[in-house]
Amino acid sequence: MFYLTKEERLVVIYFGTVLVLGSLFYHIFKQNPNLWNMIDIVESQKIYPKIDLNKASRKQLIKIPQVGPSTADRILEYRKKKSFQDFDELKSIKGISNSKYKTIILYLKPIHSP
Amino acid sequence: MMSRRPFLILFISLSFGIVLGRFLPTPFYVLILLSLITLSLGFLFLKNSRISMIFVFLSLFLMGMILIQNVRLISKNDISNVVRFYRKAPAVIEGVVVSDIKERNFYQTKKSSFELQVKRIKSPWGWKEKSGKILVHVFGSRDIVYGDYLKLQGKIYPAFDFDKEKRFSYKDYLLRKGIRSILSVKKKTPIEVISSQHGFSLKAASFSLRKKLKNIFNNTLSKNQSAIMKAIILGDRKSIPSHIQKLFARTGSAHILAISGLHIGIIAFLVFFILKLFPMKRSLRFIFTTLFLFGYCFLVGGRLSVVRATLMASVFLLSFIFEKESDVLNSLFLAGFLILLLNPFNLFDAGFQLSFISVFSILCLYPMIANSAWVSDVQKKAKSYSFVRFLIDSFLVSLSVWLGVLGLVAYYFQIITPVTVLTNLFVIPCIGVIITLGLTLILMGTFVPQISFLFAWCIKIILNAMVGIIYLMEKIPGAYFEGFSFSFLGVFAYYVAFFLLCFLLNFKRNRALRQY
Repeated sequence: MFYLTKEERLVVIYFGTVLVLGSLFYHIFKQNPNLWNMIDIVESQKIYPKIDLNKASRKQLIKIPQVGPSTADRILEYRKKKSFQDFDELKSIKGISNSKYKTIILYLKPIHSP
Repeated sequence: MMSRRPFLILFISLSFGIVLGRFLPTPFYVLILLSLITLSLGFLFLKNSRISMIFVFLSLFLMGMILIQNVRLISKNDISNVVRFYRKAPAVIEGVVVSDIKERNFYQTKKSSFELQVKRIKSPWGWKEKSGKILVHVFGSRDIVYGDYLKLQGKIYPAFDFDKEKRFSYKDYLLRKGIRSILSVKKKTPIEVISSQHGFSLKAASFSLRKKLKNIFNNTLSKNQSAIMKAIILGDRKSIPSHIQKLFARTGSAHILAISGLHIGIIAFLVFFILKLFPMKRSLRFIFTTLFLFGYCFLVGGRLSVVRATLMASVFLLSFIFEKESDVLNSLFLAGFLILLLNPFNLFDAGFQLSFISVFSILCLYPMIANSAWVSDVQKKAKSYSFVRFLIDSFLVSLSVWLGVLGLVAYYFQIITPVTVLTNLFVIPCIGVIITLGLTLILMGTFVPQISFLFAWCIKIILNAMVGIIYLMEKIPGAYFEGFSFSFLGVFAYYVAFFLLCFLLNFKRNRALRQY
């Protein structure tokens, strides 16, 4: 009467484990949003493939979303004259709007002043 | 005793015919005549098995050449025949939407893409009845659904390749779907929906169900997490950000973002397990699992990779029903054979080649490596540690698959990823858990949405763990080498060496078995 088959027991154990662990995660991370921000690598900017704006080749620049061949050429032209000291200098390049700028900088390594 | 593998030679004969038929155009009626002769000779020499078999294989080879000509044949009424007359002026076309609408952000606006079954086109002499499918790109937000009868105006042009240097041909990809032309509709051009519900009601229901399932992920997970889950469970990869796709590609784990044999295998296992909870015969369980897989394949849009995996799993499951000893390698070639019959151009699909060679490596190369003397020694030493043995086995499976796909990956994607062997050790167990949780989340989201967030939290944790591991793997020096340019000859030489290695190892194994 009170017998559960092996498969039934496994299903109960699976649901029980998910409910218990889910509740645990929910409590921990709702109370510590900063801890969640540290762990949430999928949404984080840490995993963006970052390149050095002052050393990147044309091919590397084109791989950045929103950067086409002509924008890459303009960045290289600018770099020939002087190296970038700040990301804000990108805004002065033709074809890089504010929204594009916000996307591009996600893919750049921080610039270290010499 | 060696297993009979009739589909191996059938598959090979048909494939050779398809390859030759593609690159060596032969008059169609000559092929028909030759096929009839070889078929008749095969029948005449039926009692002499060797001669008869030669003619049967020859006829299959010729059938491959015929099949590819059938697919290439364009009807006189096809829209692609008149595309060249609309180079300067925009084309006005009427037709029915026959696919799901794929929407994505495109710079400041939206871009929707769908397949249109053309009905008629406007010419200077009035409307002309036409047939054939075209791909339509519509810019701006539009309210279009599957089955709508539309009147569109835009620029029509033949399908093209983005970059001739790249090995992936967009033109061939579209051709496999029966598409030869593309229509581009500008943002400000109006679209007239003349009438609705011209599609199949079952297909419309599957699109609507898929939309509901996507919403369950969107409502319970964050943007990127939902995008990854939609790719793994529903085969919808378009919302995965490029940096995540790149991360997976660089570690050789991009295969988990598309529904493949691995996913279908896990799903089949889960369904079969769930059916064990109900009192029914074993054979009924196999039938229901197969039916579920076909339903799932239909739900996710019948993509080639899913169809292939479903066919293979079904052949395998059905062989249990008929209680016939199942030879997995034969099932693989049977599935391949059926896929080529569906569309011979599938042979040139990178996904088909990759998944076929992956399964082949698992079935052929892995047992040979695992049974080699030095691996057996290591396994004997680890006899009492089952976890270590499991790790060794998983490593060897991963190594076999990597060796199998190495040439093709280098050729198509110009990348070599040695870290794959290590990454798969962590990623594959994660994907098993993720698929189980994902399917349960769908179930809970539909019936008990109040507690679905608990399942979502478990998914969040395991997804982050998996992406975290992949991220760390990518950072290992020598994890991947980009920019390889493998020539066709290079790939050919690689696979000759690969199959020779398989043959050699198999020969050694058989000799050892005979001696034993």
